[in-house]
Amino acid sequence: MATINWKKLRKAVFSKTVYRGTASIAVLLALWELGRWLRMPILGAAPAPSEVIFLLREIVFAPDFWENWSASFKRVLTGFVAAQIIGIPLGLAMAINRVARDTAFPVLEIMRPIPPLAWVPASIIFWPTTESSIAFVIFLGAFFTVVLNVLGGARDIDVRYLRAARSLGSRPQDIFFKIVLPATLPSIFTGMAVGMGITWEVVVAAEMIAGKSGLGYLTWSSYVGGNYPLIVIGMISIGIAGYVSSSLIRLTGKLAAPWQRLF
Amino acid sequence: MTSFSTPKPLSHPASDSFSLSATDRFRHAARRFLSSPGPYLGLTGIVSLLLFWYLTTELFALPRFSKLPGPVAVWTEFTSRNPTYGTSLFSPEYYKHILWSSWRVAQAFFWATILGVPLGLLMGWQRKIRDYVFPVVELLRPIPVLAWVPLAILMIPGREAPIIFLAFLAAFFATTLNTFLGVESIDESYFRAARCLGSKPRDVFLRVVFPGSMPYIFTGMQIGVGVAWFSLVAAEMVSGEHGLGFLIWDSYVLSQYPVVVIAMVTLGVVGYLYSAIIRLVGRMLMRWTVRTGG
Amino acid sequence: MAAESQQYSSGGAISIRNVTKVYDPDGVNVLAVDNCSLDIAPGEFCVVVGPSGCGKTTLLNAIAGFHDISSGEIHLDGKLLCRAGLTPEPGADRIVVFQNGALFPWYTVLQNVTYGPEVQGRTKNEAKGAAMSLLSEFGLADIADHYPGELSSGMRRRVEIARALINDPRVLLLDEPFRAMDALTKGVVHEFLLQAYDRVKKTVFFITHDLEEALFLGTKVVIMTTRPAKVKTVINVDFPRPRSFRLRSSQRYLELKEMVFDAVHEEAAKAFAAGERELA
Repeated sequence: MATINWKKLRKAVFSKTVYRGTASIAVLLALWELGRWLRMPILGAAPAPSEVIFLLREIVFAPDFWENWSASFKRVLTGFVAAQIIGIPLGLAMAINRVARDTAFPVLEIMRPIPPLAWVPASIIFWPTTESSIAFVIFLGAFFTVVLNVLGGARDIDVRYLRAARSLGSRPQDIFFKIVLPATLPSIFTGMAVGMGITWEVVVAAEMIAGKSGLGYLTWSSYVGGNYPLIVIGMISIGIAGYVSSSLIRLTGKLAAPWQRLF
Repeated sequence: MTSFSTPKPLSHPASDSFSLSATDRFRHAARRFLSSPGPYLGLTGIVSLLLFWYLTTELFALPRFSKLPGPVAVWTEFTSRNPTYGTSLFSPEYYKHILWSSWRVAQAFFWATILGVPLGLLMGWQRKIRDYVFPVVELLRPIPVLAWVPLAILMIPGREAPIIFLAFLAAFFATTLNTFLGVESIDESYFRAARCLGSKPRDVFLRVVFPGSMPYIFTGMQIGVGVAWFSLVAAEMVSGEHGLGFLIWDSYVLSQYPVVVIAMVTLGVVGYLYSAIIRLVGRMLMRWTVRTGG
Repeated sequence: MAAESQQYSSGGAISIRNVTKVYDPDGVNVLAVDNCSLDIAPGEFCVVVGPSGCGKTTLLNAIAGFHDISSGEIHLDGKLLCRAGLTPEPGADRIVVFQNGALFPWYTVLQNVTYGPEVQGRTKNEAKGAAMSLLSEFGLADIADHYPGELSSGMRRRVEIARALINDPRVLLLDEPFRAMDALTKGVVHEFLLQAYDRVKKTVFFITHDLEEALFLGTKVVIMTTRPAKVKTVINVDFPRPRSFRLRSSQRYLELKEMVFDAVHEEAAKAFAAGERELA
C-alpha cells in the first residue's frame, strides 16, 4: 500500500522503546566522556567522545582516510567473491551428489576448526604478494561458512517438493534449476551474510598483522603512533563498513527470494 | 468406585523399541556404517588432501609450494624426541603453549557465560531491560571484535587481561544474543500456562524462561567458544608472549615453518575438543530434546 | 469412595454480560466480540462453537486473564472478574488447556503435573504424592517419567488435563484442544475428558469449531456468529451421562445434529466469504 499509516509511524517513533534506547546510549556516552575527564581507571584510558568528534570533523576531508576504506573494501570483495564462486557450486555439488559429499565433507570438517587467522603466516609464505596472501585468508574465512550453508540449505529441502516436481514430469536439470536452486537461495544468502561478518573480522586482523593500508591498518597504526582518537574512528569505520556490507547482502537476498517475505 | 477405564498408554518408547542390548545395537550400527561407502569415500578425501600436500611440497617441490613445510617434515618434527626447532610431542614447551591458550579461552568463556546468559535471559524476559540494553548491544556488535585490539591494549592494564578481554568479548556477544533469541523462541502459551498454574515471576524465570531457552544457550556457548578461539589467535599473534597464536607467529618470524603447521593443527584439534565438550554437556543436561527427536 | 482420592470443590458460575472487544493493531480497529452475553452454571459443560477466527478465543482469553475487554463485565461466582480497564491476573482457579498444547517439554509428565502445586507453595513431597495418585487414577502412572516429546498427541492432552485438574480449579478452559487430531485419537480423548468431567464436575468452557464434538461433549452448546462474535443460538443437550461413543449413532443425536448444522453452516459460509474479502 502506498499510503503511509501515520498513526502507526507515530507509534513507532515516539514509543517507549525508542526513548529508552536513546536514553541508555546517551548515558553511556556521557559516562565515557566523564570517565575521561575524571581520569577513571579503565574508561579514562580511552579517548573521549568529544575528542573523537573533534578529530572526525577534520578527517572526513582527508583523502588518505578514504583510501583506507577503499583498500579494505577491495580486499573484502576479492576474497569474498572468490569464496562464493568456489563455495556455492561446491556446496550444491555436495548436496546433490552423494560421492562428492562423502568425499569432501570430512576434509572440510577437518580444516574448519583451524581459525582463519592461523593461516596468515602460511599464506604469507606461499603467496607472492602481501595483497594476495591477505585475500587468501579472507577467502578461507568466508569459504567454509558458504559451503556448509549451501549444503545444509539444499539438503533441508522438503522432500515433498522434490516428489511433486518429479510427479509433474521434471527432468533432472529441471529439478536442479527449478527446485533445488531456488529452494537453496535463502540459505545461500544466509551463508553470504554470515560469511561477510567473518570476512570483516579477518580483514581487520590481517591488516593489523601484515597490512600497509586499510581500516585495520589505520586502527593499529594510530595506536602505534599514539593518535588515540583515530583508533575509535577506525573502529567505527570498520563497524559501519561491515554493517553496510551485510545490509546490502540481506537486501539482495530479500529481492532475490521475494516469497520468503510471506513467512 | 468406578476406576478409569482409560486404555493403556498409546506410546511406550521404552517397551516398543527393539529389545537389543546396548552393545548389540552398537555392533549393529558399526556394521551398517562400515558396509556403506561413506567412510571409505571420506578416507579417500582425507588421503587425497595429504597426498596433494606431500606431492606439491615435497616430492615434486613445485614452485611456491616448495616453501611450505611438507607433511613428512612436519611429522618428523612433531614426533621427534629431539626436535630441530624445539617443539614436538615430547617437548614441554608444546604443552605449555596449549595450556596458556586453553586457560585464556576458559577464562574468557567463563566470564562470557556468567555474564552473557543472565543478561540474555533478562533481556528476553523483561521488556524494560531489553529496551535499555539491546540498542547498546546492537550498536557495538557490528564492530569486529578484532578491531578492539588496540583499544583493549590501551584501556585494560596488564598483558594478559587485554587478550582475555578480546576472547571474552567475542564469546559474550554470541552467548548473550543467542540466549536472548532463546527466550524469544519460547512459545507464548508456555508463559500463559505457567501463569494459569499460579506461578510467581520467580517461578516463570526459573522454570520456564531458563529451561525453555536452554537449547539456544548451548548453541550460543558453542558458537561463543568458537569465536573466542578465533579472536584469541589474533590477539596472541599481535601481542602475546605464550599460546598457540603466538607460537604460530613466532615460528613464522624465526622461519621455523614446520612448527607453524604443528601449531595450526593443534589449534584445530583443541578448538574442536572445546566445542565437543560443550555439545556433550548440553546433551546431558537437555535429555528432553534428545528423546523428543522423531 | 477411596479415601485418598482428591476432593473437588464446587463453584464456577460464569456470567458474561454484554462483552465487547475491539482490537487495535496498527491503528485499524477490529471488532472481535460484539455485545456477547452468556451464563454458565456451576459444573456445566459449556461448548462454544463457531467458525475459525470468529472471536471465541478472545472470550476465553478474557476469562483466563490474558487480555482485557473493551466493555461489558465477566463475573465468576458472583465476583467481578473482568471489565474494561480491569484485567484479572491469570490464576489457578481458571486453568487453560491450549490449542497446540503447552505441557512444558523440559519437564517430565510427573514434573508437569507437580508444577502447579509446587509453585503454589506445597512441598515437593506433597505435590508428588498428589500427582502420583491423580495420574494413577487417570491411568497415566506408567508414563510419569516420560518427557512430553515422547508421547502421542492424545496422551499429551490427557496429561495436560490432569495437570489442570490437580489444582482443583473452579473452571476448566479448553481452547480447541483436540484440533489437530485424527478421528480415532479424538474419540479416545473425548471419552477420557468425559470420564474426567463426570468425576470432578467442574465448569468447563470448551471452544471448538467441530459441531459433532460439541454435541457429544456438551451440556450446553453455544453457537456463535462469525466475526464479530455474538451468541446466535444456545442449545441444551440433554443426553444422559455418562455418555459413550455409541451416542453418536443414536436417533436423537442425529436429529439434533441435523437441526443445528444449518445454523453453523451459514456462519461458516459467511466467515469464508469474509476471509476471501480480507485477502483481496
